[in-house]
Amino acid sequence: MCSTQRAAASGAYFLRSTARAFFDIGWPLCYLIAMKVAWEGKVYEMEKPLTVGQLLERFSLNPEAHIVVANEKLVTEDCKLSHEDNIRIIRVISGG
Amino acid sequence: MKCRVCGKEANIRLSAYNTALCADDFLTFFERRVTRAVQKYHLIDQTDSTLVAVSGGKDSLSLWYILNRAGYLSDGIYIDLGIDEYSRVSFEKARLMADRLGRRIYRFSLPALFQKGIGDLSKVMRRAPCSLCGVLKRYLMNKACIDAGYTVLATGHNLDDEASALFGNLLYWKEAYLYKKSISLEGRGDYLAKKIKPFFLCSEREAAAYAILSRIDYVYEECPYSVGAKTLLYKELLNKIEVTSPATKIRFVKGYLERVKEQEARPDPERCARCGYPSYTETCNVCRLVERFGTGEAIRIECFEPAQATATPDISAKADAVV
Ligand SMILES: [Zn+2]
Ligand SMILES: [Zn+2]
Repeated sequence: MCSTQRAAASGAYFLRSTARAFFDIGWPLCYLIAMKVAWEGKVYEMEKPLTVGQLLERFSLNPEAHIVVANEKLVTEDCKLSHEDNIRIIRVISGG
Repeated sequence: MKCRVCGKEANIRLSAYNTALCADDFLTFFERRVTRAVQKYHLIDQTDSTLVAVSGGKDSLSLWYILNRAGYLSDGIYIDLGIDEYSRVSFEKARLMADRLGRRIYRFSLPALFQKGIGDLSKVMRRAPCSLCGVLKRYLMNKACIDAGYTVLATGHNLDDEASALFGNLLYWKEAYLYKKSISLEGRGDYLAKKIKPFFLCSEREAAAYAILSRIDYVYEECPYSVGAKTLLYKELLNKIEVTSPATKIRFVKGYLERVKEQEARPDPERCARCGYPSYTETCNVCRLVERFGTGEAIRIECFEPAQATATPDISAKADAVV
């Protein structure tokens, strides 16, 4: 597939998925609203919901050196995060 | 994951203790560990008055808060190193806590004495900022304690600080420093205050969780000079081991504490001929520094009274009830 074809195909997919999200509010909506994670002053968007443990793994962060806060509550590694959650990763190690 | 104590949804997993706790039970657990350490290692006596070294970070603010909650009423000392925005924000957080606790905070300002911050001072002295900062802090905090009549100086050094320092000293066989660290160092007469580290066996993650759960507003930013510090690398390495073998850090530091007990009592340090505070040379480092680079003014430590003396929530009664 050349690049124009690929662009056209992905454009068509985007329209289709948007339409589906509008009309049946099924699974494509999850993919349209990404999970937002605040880390070191930046906000990252995760395409799929994850557990806290998976989230730390994705950022290559050590669970002993970081704390995850979801909706102002501390959460353990097995906690499943969803796109509605307000998520923050806090680094706990300092130079001292 | 469920809380080991009450069965509610857990908020923190503590692999080193093979447990998980909810927010409330974690706060109780952490406070009890700190107050037990104070009692077990005889850190603070009934007759003592305590000054807490406050940096505006999670460890020192949590420590100051817990000591007051546990009935060990204590004031704070903040050293302004003149690192622009970082120092300004840090002192702001320290004052917020002083007001929350209804306690006094003392401040020493490096720029007031040298007309320079730690960065410029270290440049003209051709000395690393962190080693210079260490010398100044040790001196000034001890001086503040003695001058204002406090008998104990408490610092927020945590398990990760101690484990990483020990790791570094062992790695390069710095035997001169190896046995100098302890959970408490006895004071000497009227020139050296007793030094204690009540968080010695509490991990940095626990201290941060405590601060967050207690809604303590602390400085998240790092001191700009600590970037790339070796300590950070050692902490990272130890945490990698900790994740695969939980409780490694606490065993490492506890093992050290058992061995350090066997060391001989240290001789009294000599006194500086000029200021009278501890020194290994005739005139101490700080007196020489002030003479060469100072503005001619004497070292001044300001005292700030709290906005209003609010009653500190007391957990000492609760602790007694449990016993
Ligand atoms: Zn509980
Ligand atoms: Zn001196």
